[in-house]
Amino acid sequence: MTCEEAAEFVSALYDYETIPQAAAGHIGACASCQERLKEYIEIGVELRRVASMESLEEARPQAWEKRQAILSTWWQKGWETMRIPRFAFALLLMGIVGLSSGLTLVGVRAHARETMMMLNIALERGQVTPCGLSFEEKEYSDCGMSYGLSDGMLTYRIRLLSKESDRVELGVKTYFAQGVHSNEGAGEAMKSVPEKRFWFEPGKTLRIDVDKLGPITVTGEWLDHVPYFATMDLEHNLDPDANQIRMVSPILLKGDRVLYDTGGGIATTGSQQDAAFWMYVPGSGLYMLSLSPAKNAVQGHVAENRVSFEIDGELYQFVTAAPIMRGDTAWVLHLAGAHSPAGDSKQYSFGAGNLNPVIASAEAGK
Amino acid sequence: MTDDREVWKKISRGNADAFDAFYRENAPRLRGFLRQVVGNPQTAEDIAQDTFTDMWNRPNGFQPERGTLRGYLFGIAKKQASEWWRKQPSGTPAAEEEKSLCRTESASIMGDALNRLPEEQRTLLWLREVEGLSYAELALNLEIPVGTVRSRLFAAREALRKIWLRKRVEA
Repeated sequence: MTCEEAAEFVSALYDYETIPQAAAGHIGACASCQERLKEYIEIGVELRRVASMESLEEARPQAWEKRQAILSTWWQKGWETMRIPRFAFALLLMGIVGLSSGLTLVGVRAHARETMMMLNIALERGQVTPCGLSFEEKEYSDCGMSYGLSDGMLTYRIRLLSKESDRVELGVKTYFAQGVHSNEGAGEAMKSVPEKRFWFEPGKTLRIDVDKLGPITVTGEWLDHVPYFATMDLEHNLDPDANQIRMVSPILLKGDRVLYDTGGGIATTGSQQDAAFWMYVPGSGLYMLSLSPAKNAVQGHVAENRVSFEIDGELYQFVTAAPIMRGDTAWVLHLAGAHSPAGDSKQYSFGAGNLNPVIASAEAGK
Repeated sequence: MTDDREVWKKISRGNADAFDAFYRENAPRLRGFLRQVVGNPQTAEDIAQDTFTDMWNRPNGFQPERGTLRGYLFGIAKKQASEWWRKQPSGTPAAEEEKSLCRTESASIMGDALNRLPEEQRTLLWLREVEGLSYAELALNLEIPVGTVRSRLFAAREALRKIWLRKRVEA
């Protein structure tokens, strides 16, 4: 072996890597290679010294607001609802994944006192969306949601401000985008919406007027525990309608590896035959779950809260926190080179739409 | 690694205290790394903030079995810095200013030598030598095979060694 051939192994040796016997033998007997190794050591030490001279002032204080829901920016006309709560079923999901079983509802966390204010916000057509608030559970100090209504998109945020006897003071922000069926821009718009304060008393109904939408009503009660479905309408999300796909906090697994964990996001489709749920994973592509087969789609087996399918001999699974659909067969199309239907192909995203328009959008990169 | 799993679990659940502790522990070193990569302290600060904000808002992608949480953080920052460089048209005043700053802020022969390397080599050497990322973590962050990490590290070391030896003679 020559010095030139051994040079790369000198670098590897310096990095604590094992090297071939021939290279090790050469380096041991070669003064030139040993000199190179010494220089690498000297360079490494000097680099760390230079790094130590960098001023490592403390990180400036930063307020980490609880993250907003994953707000999908793509909305296909004709869908009834697509709701994405801020906080949902991380614990439940872990339980499900860990147990590798069917849907498992774990018990609630009990508290000795009634500390959880469980609000129910009534929207149109009798739809109710819950909002769990607590002074003791920091992650439930507020709640927020974007909700697709027939006339547009409603976004709200409710904060728990104070408590006086049995009643609570709420800080409420609402924003209704009329004629809009996407929550794109809702987060930014909410920043300039003034917060209104209301006193709410359990057993009574609070009416909140939303500009351009009209009133929404709030009822609620004190609970002694944090229910796992504190930000979701349990009744309407556990039993999918016909021809409907309900993805509650979905994760996508490839073998035993998590490709994407939506961390509490929800995408609910309407009841069209060409209903489709999509999930975009940067570097891996677009995965579309549909009730009817797209060209090149593979068949998936649906069992309660999971859909299993194979692509190129690899097992994939969508696992969710609630039943997905009524049938036991679905179709999955994987487009490795597709763009994100949400627009930014560097970001993880998911959503719902009509099958062919979503495919066209993803392939066109729009 | 177990700690990383716990921390990640908390961050994924939106635990602001856990994320703030992670931020305070890692932000200064991340800024130091980014200053080397982009050359400008303010740009480095901006990218560091964007990196933490992205991680907080979209906690996806960390795989504990493939590396440390710190390595994952630096990987995100590296990608953001590369993206920033890509957006700088070569020859524009901004890009030239950054390059100029790269050369003038160093206080040692090694610092100057390092700044003469291409961004990719500078990044690779810093992550390995200063931050101690493993070959596997570097492979993951740079999206290249482990064998390529070895050859690229060698090329970067050789480039730096030659510049450093020359500057030492000049000095």
